[in-house]
Amino acid sequence: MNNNEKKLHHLLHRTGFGPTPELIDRFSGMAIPDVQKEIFSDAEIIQDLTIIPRPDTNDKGEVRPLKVVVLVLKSQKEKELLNLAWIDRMAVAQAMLREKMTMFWHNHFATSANFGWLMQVQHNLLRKHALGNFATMLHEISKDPAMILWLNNQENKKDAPNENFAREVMELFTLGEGNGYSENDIKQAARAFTGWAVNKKGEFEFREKDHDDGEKELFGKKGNFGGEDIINMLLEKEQVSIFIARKIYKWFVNHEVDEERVDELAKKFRSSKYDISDLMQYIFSSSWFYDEENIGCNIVTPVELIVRLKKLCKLEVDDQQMLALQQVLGQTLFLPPNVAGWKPGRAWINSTSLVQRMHLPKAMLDSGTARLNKRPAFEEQNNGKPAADEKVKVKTEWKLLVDHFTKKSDAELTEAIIDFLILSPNDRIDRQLIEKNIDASNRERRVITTIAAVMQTPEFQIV
Amino acid sequence: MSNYSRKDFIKLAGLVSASMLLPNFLRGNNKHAAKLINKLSLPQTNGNRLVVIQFSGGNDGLNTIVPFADDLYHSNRPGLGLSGAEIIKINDQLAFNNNLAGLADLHNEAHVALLNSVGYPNPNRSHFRSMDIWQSASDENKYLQTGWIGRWLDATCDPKNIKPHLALEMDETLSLALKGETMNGLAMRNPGRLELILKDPLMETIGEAWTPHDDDHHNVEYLHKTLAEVSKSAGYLHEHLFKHNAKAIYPQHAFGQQMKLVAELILADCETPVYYVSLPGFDTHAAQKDHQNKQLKVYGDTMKAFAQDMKDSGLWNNTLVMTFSEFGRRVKQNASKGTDHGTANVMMFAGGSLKKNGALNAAPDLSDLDNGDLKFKVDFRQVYATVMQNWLGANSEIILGNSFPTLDFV
Repeated sequence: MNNNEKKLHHLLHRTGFGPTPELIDRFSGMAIPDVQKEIFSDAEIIQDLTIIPRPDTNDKGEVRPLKVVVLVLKSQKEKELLNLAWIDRMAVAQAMLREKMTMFWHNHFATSANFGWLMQVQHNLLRKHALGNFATMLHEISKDPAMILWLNNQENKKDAPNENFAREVMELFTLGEGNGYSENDIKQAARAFTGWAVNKKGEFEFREKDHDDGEKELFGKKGNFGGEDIINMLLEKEQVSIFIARKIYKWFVNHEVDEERVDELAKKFRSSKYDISDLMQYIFSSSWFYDEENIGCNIVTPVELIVRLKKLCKLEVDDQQMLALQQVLGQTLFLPPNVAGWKPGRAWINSTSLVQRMHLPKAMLDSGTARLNKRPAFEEQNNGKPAADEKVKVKTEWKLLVDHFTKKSDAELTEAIIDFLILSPNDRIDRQLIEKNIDASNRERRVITTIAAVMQTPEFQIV
Repeated sequence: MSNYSRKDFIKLAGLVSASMLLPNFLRGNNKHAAKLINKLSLPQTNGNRLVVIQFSGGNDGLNTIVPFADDLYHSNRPGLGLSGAEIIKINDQLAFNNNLAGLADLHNEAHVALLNSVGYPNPNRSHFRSMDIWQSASDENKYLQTGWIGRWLDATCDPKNIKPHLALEMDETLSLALKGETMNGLAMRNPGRLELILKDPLMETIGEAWTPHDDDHHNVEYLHKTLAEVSKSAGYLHEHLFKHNAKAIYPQHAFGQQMKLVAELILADCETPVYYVSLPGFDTHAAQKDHQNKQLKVYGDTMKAFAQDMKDSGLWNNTLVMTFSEFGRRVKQNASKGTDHGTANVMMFAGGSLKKNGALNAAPDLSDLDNGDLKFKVDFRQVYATVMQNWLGANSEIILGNSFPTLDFV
């Protein structure tokens, strides 16, 4: 692979879900800045997910209340539907960078409220601002109904403040744990957010009677602050740009953070008044982004892996199994492990998840079967029904990939496939072992089984 | 740990602790000695095994071990409080929820200990955060990336001979509790999953090809190393799985079946000293009684079956089962016949060689509350220190990063 090809592959991994025959055909031979321009132009497309209908309402437009148990069950199913629809979307979306950024923000503002329709509203809000302005996004997500319910601001009232949102907006969304705020700042900020609630129509509502309009003192200032004032005070802090830039660096450049680069990015982010698109363009056009150490260095996230396989060979399993697969790999969309979201990097890897990651390509051969735990329905899980080991039907199509390697001779094939699929240092890949394990009975089988074998290397998990 | 005598063990332990002076004959071709040295890469727990049971969701301790004699208990919980035939008395203050009949039977044999009011300062009522605190054994205001069992592996295992199955979690994914700095435990919900690696020549060969490097900095190296470890443990566990059938009857509930698997591994003389099993479903904000009772029955029945299998094989004296939850619940019931997130909670212990049994301390004081929640009397890390020090024979100060006074029930 020449240097320009390597850069292109790297860019496609970071801005989307890796190279595919289609993307390589489209971009090969183009200068990297021109490719980048096209990727950002594609990302302008904003297409909402609209899979969950608005719940039943009465004549005042109020959502009919449901029993807690029914609500939890219903929302669980709805979140699963959203999950599946989003996975499918990511696999076909032209706006791949927007989808990828939406996933970044879903992890940043990790929410899993018991209300599928509101989760969909939030999801579309994140997509809308994914490459927009962080300040605007922060203001809007703070008034987002799913967020308000998730972080208990609904219970945050003048007489009984609930500090959950005030704490997380500082700890997780803007400053980072222990970075420039005190327990008292949290208490004061919680008072400012009192009365921020969700009404029966599922919309944001400011409830004056629940709001504490007394004087608050925080961050060295005194005043009758409201929630918006707090968010603005936070956005004035330099630390916000550093915290967000560091996280973006982790997810889009390298899990191993280079603090000098982070400072450089933070400065850029501040000078553009939190323009996310501007920041991302800056990253992808920096020469250090293409340094050897930043290429093929990150462990691919479970969702990226699944989407990549869907894009490369149309991986399909039935709905419950797609959810089970995400569960085993450790990342179920709309079901983050906690408010802090998923941890990137080595946290993805454990005995079960690694074996499952490496087993999947083998299962994909011949549209074969994979061993997965058959996931009991949600109701049954709650009753402790054991997950049964079951062979799961996996569907795939290899034609796109087979055609892509038409011009390569049998002798060149393994190397060409490694070049196409692996970006990390690949000298440890045992070519002989791969060639010993493939089915060379005809050309098509040779290509398919070689691809599957290369996908079974640990190196394939690194992008 | 059965192929050699305790005398051998002590002799060799002496040799290894002076490993700088390792005689040449042990390094070379003396097969017998090499085998024994290899054995010493195991943590030296004197054959003791620990099974940790996690009640996920915040179990209501007050309806588990019930302070039935306290009027405040009943006045705070009209309709939810337990009395009469719903309880099995332990002493004049405390009683088992009668769904724990299995555990109560073990208690009659002096094989159960109960520790009330366990918690930590400034309790966090978030499931996630509080669970992280319990699993990492951190201060309430510190965020650790490693867990107490993971750090026990770090402190006691030979880094050159990593065996993730020495701390085995019966789950899909590995909990923070079992993640260490350099070593991790192994998560195994379904043994079939691990067999995948053994039936796949490519995966197995790649795993076997790995040799230790000093530098596992790059993620490629890290994945190769993890695969090699898993591959080794998969082979080991495969040899020990389904060799012995547990004879007792376990509930047909995922938790019961996981504990059955633990029993079968122990019966097959698996070298794993620490097992970790979760029973979820304790987040009982509404209609608590039926739901919690069902969970406790599964737990109580499982405990009885598990103890029976251990007793029948003479292993109960070397077994300690410790049960905890991330927090207890509020004293006062809420408007939907449930309870909300609370603080301090009861911990339960079972085993054949407890030094003290029954209620180890006073019933929780319901008249002295902090904002409606129980005040903690025992720091949970005292319990960890006790278990590590007295039961697993490890240095708890290294593992917990602090010295905590130990208790005397094990």
